[in-house]
Amino acid sequence: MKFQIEDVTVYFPYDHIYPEQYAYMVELKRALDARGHCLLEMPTGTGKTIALLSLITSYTLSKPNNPVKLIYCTRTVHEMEKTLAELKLLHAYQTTHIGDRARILAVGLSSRKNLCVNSRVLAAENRDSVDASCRRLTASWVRAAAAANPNLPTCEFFEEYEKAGSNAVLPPGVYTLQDLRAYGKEKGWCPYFLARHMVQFANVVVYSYQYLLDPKVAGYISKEMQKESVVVFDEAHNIDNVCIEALSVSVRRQTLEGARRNLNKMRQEIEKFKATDAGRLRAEYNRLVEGLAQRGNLPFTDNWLSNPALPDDILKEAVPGNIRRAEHFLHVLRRLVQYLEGRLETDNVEKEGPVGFVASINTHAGIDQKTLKFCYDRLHSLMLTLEITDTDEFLHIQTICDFATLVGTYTRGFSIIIEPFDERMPHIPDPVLQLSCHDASLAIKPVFDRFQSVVITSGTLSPIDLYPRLLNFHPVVSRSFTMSLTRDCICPMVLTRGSDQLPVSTKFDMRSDLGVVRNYGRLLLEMASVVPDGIVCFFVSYSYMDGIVNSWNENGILKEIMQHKLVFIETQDVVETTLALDNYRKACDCGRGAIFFSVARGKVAEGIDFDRHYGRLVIMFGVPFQYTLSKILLARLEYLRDTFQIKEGDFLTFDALRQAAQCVGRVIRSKADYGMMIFADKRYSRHDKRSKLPGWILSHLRDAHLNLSTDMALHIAREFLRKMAQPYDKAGGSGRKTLLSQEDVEKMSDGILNEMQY
Amino acid sequence: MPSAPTKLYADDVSLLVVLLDTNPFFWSTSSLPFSKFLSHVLSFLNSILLLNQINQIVVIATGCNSCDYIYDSSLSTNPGIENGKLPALCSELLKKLEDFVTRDEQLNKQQSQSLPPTTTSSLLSGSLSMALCYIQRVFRSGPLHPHPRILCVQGSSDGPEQYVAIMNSIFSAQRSMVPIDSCYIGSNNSAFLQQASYITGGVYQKPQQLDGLFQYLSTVFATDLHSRTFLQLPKSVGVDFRASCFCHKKTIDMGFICSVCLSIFCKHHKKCSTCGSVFGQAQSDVASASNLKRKTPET
Amino acid sequence: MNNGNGRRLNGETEEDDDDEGSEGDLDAWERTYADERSWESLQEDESGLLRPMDNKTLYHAQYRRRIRSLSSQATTSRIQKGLIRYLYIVVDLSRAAAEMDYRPSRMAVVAKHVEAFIREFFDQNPLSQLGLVTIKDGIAHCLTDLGGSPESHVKALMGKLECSGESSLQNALDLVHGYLNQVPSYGHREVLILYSALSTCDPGDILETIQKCKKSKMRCSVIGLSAEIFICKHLCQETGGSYSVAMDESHFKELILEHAPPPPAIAEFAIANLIKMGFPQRAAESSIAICSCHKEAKVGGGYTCPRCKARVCELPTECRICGLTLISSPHLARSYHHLFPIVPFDEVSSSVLSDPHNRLPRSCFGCQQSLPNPGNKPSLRVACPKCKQHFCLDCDIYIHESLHNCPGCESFRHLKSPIATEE
Repeated sequence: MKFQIEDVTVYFPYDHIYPEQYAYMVELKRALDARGHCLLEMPTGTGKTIALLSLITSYTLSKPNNPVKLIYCTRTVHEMEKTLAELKLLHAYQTTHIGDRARILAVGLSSRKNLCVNSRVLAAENRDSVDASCRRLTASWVRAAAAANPNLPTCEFFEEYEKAGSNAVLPPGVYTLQDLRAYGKEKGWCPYFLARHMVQFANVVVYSYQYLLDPKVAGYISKEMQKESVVVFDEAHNIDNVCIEALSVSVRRQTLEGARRNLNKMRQEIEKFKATDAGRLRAEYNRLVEGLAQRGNLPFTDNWLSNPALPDDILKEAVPGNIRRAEHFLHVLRRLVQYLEGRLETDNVEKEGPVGFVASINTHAGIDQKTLKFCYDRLHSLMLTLEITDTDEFLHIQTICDFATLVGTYTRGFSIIIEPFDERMPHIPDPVLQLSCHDASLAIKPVFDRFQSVVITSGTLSPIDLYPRLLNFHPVVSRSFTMSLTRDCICPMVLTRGSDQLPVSTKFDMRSDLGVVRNYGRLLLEMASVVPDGIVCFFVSYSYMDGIVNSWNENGILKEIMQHKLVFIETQDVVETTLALDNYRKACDCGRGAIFFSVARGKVAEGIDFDRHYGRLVIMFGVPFQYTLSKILLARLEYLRDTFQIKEGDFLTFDALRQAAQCVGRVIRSKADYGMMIFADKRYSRHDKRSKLPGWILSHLRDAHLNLSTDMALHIAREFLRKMAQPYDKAGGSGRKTLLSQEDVEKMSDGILNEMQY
Repeated sequence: MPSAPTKLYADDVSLLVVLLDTNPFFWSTSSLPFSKFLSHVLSFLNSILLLNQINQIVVIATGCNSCDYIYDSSLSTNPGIENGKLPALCSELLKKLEDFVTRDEQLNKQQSQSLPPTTTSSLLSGSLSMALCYIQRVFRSGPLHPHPRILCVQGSSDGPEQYVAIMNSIFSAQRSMVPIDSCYIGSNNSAFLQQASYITGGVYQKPQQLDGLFQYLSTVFATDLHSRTFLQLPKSVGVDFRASCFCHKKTIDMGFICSVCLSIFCKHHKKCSTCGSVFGQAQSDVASASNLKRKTPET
Repeated sequence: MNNGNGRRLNGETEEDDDDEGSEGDLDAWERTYADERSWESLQEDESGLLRPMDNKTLYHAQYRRRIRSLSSQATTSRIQKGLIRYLYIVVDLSRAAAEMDYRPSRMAVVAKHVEAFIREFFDQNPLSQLGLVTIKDGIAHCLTDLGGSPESHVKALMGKLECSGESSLQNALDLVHGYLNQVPSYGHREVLILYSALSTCDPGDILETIQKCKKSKMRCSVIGLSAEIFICKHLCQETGGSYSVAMDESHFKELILEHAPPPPAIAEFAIANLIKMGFPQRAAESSIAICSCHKEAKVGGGYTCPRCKARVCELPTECRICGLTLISSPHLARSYHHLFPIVPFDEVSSSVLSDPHNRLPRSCFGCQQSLPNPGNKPSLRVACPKCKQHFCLDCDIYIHESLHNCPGCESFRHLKSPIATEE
């Protein structure tokens, strides 16, 4: 259908639209017009993605003089593929309606592992080794050598791509990663480099958050994106954590040992070069003197190491004199490694700010701040000079240099914390030195500053006013939408006690109480006997999950549960978890029924959907607070309190409930779906905790469903399931309409215009 | 589906719905004149009302071109006889009946102008349907209501075009447990009424001497349902349940049934003439041979 | 002859076993959580007094919507109905059937309603056959074989039934599939599963079994008593059956009785065939013969098979000696209303009602109940599109559900359309 929002003609590929999709598009357009940032919360299963894509592409079509580029950031590769599939549909619709004017180029971009078509390279096991083997074939000196000696292996796809030169373009269309690989195979070109190149010319780019937020990666991928772009962060409720992780480094004993090895190897290489080709090292020295170490005219295949600091903070000066010579640089690094090893020998927990740390490095190792700042660039230049392609082996020294550069560049917003052992296991010495970033706004600041509009959207952005404070930006539009439903297909419940009326909680002092364990077990058992197909259970941590499952096994409750349904569990191993998920789905499909135990901050909670019969009930056992005794967390809380006046308790609650809402939202993916959610902890009945849940959950949480005990919850569950099994009228026969057709939208738009005038 | 009748206030209270045949084609050739017939019937109706204070009578006339309600004893307002004239029952009833017959004749004239009269049967299916609707209303009226039954006083022969409708009414009456009694005063037996009485558990009688019609009516048809359990009433004999085939209309005792529309044929056809289905198997003996594998049900 | 449903002939009324009263048996707190906001069903009338809402018109409106949707499918495409049905009822007697959310227990309620269903089934489909299968401890047993008389099935059902163990959908489907494969090709194969459990423990791949059933053209329907299970939904979708979940006992009764009338037949499911049948005559009252079903001498009554002259006691049946199906013409006539359905009645719009020029009949044509002339309320009368007579709402329901004749069309000669007739 086609309709107008003020001056923009929106092309929407379906015949019916939900009212909340329409409202979402209106708000989004406002933000785009104002050239400002916005924060939009819309629940899952309401077609947020297609609304976004449809509005932004139509916006571009309506303003052909100022085309906006769309940069769409997703969290996982799977989401990327889904988005591109939706975009394909939209594109097909638009081209049939408008013709060639609507043709656009849309590409997805991911790491080499997902795009390479060279089978030798792909055979490597992880991402870093794929990168390394690619570089072994495509680095400029390798290619130069291969030109002379045809026996040296190169990548044929890359060679073809290079040969094609400026003809190597993608014709307009929408390309998923699969499409790119197919195209690459067909033409014999390397899809990765092709995509990287086309990203500058594409109208729509879809890639992951790291490509914009992590300075190490963003430096060479996204540096040329134009200002008139709209950046969309989808599923962005954890964006503050992503920003923080992008700028944090942790150093352990293995890192330091590995760094030593790397340094030895580099020294050997240098000795070798000194003997054979001294000219190369001298040329590098000269270059550094002239300050051309950074960026410069390096061929793009050699541009793989980028500064971990933010672009504005990188000094554009010449490299300091004491590290210009390769051997001197290695000495400096060795001294640094030695100092760090010394620091790790401590028996107490130590916390320092970056300034103090730099000062102490200066005193003990004689390395000043400026030298530290340039470590990374110097390393990169050295590795290029030494023609090192096995970058996966040199990860440790890269980590050290990351650390050094960050510590040298920033004076606030970071803490260095040294812990001799993990608090939970005091007998095992496991020293770790962590440089943790506390200020989430640092990593995202360049994005806000550079691009015209940034849209942060998710299903769980509550409370919505906390995000602007955390990320330090000022949105022009900040709104929360609710789902319009013909029937109440969500049934959230807050369960505070067991059938014996004892309260249940995962509060630390109550966790191991046998009564609580038993009540939780009985809750699961009772629910397994009334809920069909799949149930998903989330626990607050792996250790808690292990403990409670053990107790249930000893009590025999687990055996009773298994009589009703099969039990699958998530572990920290990806392969095992994938297998468990597969079997879980199979069990649900064939009618046997299954329960999946998962952890609140794990991979499953972040990415996997349990829609339709795969998740009829989700139980959140407890409130998933972070481990509050972690030093990093404490440091961060302190920083937040000092800088943003956010109370520790508030932030912790916010974070916990955001996680809980995210877990619980896995269960509904469309309006025809239905599911129940149980929040099993007495603390949820308190208003300050409950009010932080997103609006679309709260609007279905009736007062009668608060403060339940197990038998009451059972009764409600039975009634709900029976009611939901009845046949259902999608469009909402009587009363409010939840599916609007073209005329409805036209009528509405007049109404909305009138409203907006007031 | 209407539920079974619940407890009553007494066992022998009845509601009698009488379907009177007023077909002029029949009455013109009948040995018993219509007026005499009416006097038998009126006395019978009065005696029913005398049997029990709360007995109820409804009379529906079955005409040649229409049917209508003639009299409902629960609606009449008068208490009793007024200064020597005929009882109110009679006057009301007769008046209405006369009106009905006149209207029916007029319809007949209209009808015969457009189509020649093809048949001389009464619209029994119509009056049966109306009677059953009335009885349903009585069932709905509450836990205390009389036992309903239907009495058909018919003389015209069966109209074959009404077969399906009459069978529908009969089955509906059977489900509601309403017996259909038949007093047939025509010349040959009516197969429809015989089946009706047999299936619903009513009494079918063809009085031998029409002069004594009142006697037959009051001894056989005035009995209430409760009393019938200990009275000897005329048994049904010779009910012919054989079917007639669609192609020749002759009665057969073995035939072929189309599995889709249940039409009856006397010999094998390639295609069903009613529903048009083409028959798959050539031999129907193959079908009956496989019947042997199924066990016969025990009674 | 036994009228096929066990009711005695001389109209002696049955005592009504009034053990319904179970709806109000929830505890008070359960009722609160059942969201019985009874205050919502009250309305204020003109003088401000509270009155319960008029549910009658709502109920009627729902009913009419249902009828209209059913008939619009049937008349527009002349869908034929499967009149000769071979139906297996699968009763789940696993552990879940002992639950008490239906009083006295699910199993007892199911048995009661299945009995009512059996009688209704044979009432509406006299030529069809029914069999019963139970699932217990994960194994499916055949309780009764396919047969045409209700008594044997009812007797088996009333026997002692116990529930235990798991439920296995695949075993039941396999068993039923084996039996139904032997059924003649003109018959419609159906399975009705009454499922209380929430899962199924199968020895093999149930999806394969479902494909097998689909290939054999078995139409499987499920009525669930607890909640919606994916595998049951999948089964019904694949085989063309219907899946419904009962909310409470009365809803369950409604759902199960919906399966009694013949379902619309899917054309390629059953091959049309000519079936040889006999129409026996009733023997004279005083005749003596040896009955072939009881193997003893009987006086009077009974029917004589036209082919082999053996005596049988009741109809419909199959002659034990020669295998001929024996029926009487009323049995066939019971199904004729499916082939000649009546059109649904239309609501009389309020504009027609309030128009003073129209002379409206003041009483319902069928039952003579007076029809009020409403002011602003929705109309309480309907009219037949053919004969234009007005009827009250209750007559409308009765006519369409039970009588299948429009009294108006039947009562006027010029409206009678010629239809297939026989004596």
